[in-house]
Amino acid sequence: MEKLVIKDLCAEVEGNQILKGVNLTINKGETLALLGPNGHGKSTLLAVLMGNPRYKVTSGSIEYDGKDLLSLKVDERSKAGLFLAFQNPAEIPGVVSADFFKGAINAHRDNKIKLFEFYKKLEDTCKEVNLPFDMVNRNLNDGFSGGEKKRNEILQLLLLNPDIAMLDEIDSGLDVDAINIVSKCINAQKESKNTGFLIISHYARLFELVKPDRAAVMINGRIVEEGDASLISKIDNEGYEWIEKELGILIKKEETNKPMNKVSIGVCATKEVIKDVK
Amino acid sequence: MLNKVTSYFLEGESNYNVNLKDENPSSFLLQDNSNVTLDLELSSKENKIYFNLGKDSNLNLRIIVKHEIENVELHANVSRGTNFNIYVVDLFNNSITFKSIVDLDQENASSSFHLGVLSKNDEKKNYDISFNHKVGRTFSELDAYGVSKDLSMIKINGTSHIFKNSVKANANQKAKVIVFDDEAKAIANPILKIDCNDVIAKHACAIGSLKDEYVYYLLSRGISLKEARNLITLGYLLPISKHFSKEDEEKIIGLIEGEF
Ligand SMILES: Nc1ncnc2c1ncn2[C@@H]1O[C@H](COP(=O)(O)OP(=O)(O)OP(=O)(O)O)[C@@H](O)[C@H]1O
Ligand SMILES: [Mg+2]
Repeated sequence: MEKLVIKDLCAEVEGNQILKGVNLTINKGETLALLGPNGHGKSTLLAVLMGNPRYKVTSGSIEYDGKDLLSLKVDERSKAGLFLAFQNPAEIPGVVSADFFKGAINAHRDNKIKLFEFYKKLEDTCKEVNLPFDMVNRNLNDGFSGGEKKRNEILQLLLLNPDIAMLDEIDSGLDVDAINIVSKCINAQKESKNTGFLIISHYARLFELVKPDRAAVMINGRIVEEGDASLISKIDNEGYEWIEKELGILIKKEETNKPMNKVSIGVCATKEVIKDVK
Repeated sequence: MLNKVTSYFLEGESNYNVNLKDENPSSFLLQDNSNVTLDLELSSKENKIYFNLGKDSNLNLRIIVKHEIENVELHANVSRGTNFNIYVVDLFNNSITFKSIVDLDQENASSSFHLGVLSKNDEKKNYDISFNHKVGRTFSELDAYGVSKDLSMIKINGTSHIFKNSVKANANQKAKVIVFDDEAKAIANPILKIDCNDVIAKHACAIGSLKDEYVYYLLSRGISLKEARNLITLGYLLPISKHFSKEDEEKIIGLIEGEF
């Protein structure tokens, strides 16, 4: 049964068109691997699915459970069962992780979770992803190591039980043990909650552990190839060049001059910041 | 000095509640070997307060800044083995200039200044917090959190002056301010004047806007926009409240939550 149907989706960020007609379907409970060279729009697709306000959909449609996903606000999409584990999770000073988790859990249920139940659940889930429980008293992702941030994303996934979880390079920066832990969590989630997964990764290792049902390749802002899991090993062995030849697509090389974020947090001697006017 | 100084004596293991009206300037003398918490209520526009702290003692000074206050000037001298903690909550008054100078005169004297400040409308809030490490083995800490909204401004100058020969002095400064609205402003100036080697001096200041990136992250977990803004901001202001009495703590939390 179809869960998420993306049709002819075009989207731009700051005037640059990145998605140029994406067609992709994810079925209920299915695990789909999304591959593609750097800078070809994979993260952009997830950002658009989640509703990141920086990205503008210029045409096309996304149906979620038969409803128009694009008409929902970001928090409504989450409440509808969509989850995104970010490639680079934000560090948020001043927000205590536990308060944030509690707020997120409560947003997904009718009556507020009891404090005892919450801490029990949090403690168990921390164990599952192998994060020390003290972490929940720290500010959200603030000063977390790369691997800790990734596991913190999985922690939230487990707490929120989404219908569809999108994982953006969840395995990058993880050591071998952590990859094993994360894939175990993913498999358990599939098993017990029938959560569907859209997983972006550049490495076959994760896919060997979570065994996707299907794979899709994104190039130049389009899905150019779909197939079963054998597509992953083909790309792992041969790269993307064969696609250029076989399908006659010229793969654009990634631009190296990515715009810098206007970051205003950090250790400083003297600092004065007026919030950027948008 | 033209004005008469009103003096208060603090001693023993006790809690004092003092309301300063026209007693300006006023001075507080802390006896040796005492452990005192002083809740100070300021009621006049201009406030000059002196503290003289005896040996081997501890003083916690707590101030909730009220509407009518425009100027506060606080001078303190801290003796050997004594610790002076200052807690200031400034949420609902108008513009203010608050100057604090703490002299750590003898070894093992220590002092900390904890601030939670919110500015709104076109208020200007200036905090000038100085610690003078006159001798070695003295310790100071500035821990300031702020939120500036609307067209307002928060300025925090933290000065740690470590004098000659003050070996093993330790000065710590931390200031975090979040700029809530496009036109709001925040400035943090950590000033370290160090005339001695073999000391530890650290400062960290972070001024952040209520970044779209932060809000988006919270929204993506189902949290509403209003709640997301609150969560980010409350985190800056709530921590100071736990240093106050239960009654004041509840009052402070209520006021902060009402604001967002
Ligand atoms: N804010 C932005 N302004 C301009 N260009 C952007 C912006 N955000 C992303 N892009 C560009 O969009 C393109 C696609 O980026 P995206 O992050 O979707 O790639 P990706 O396929 O996820 O790559 P990777 O595998 O490296 O993570 C890139 O060229 C990137 O530089
Ligand atoms: Mg990416």
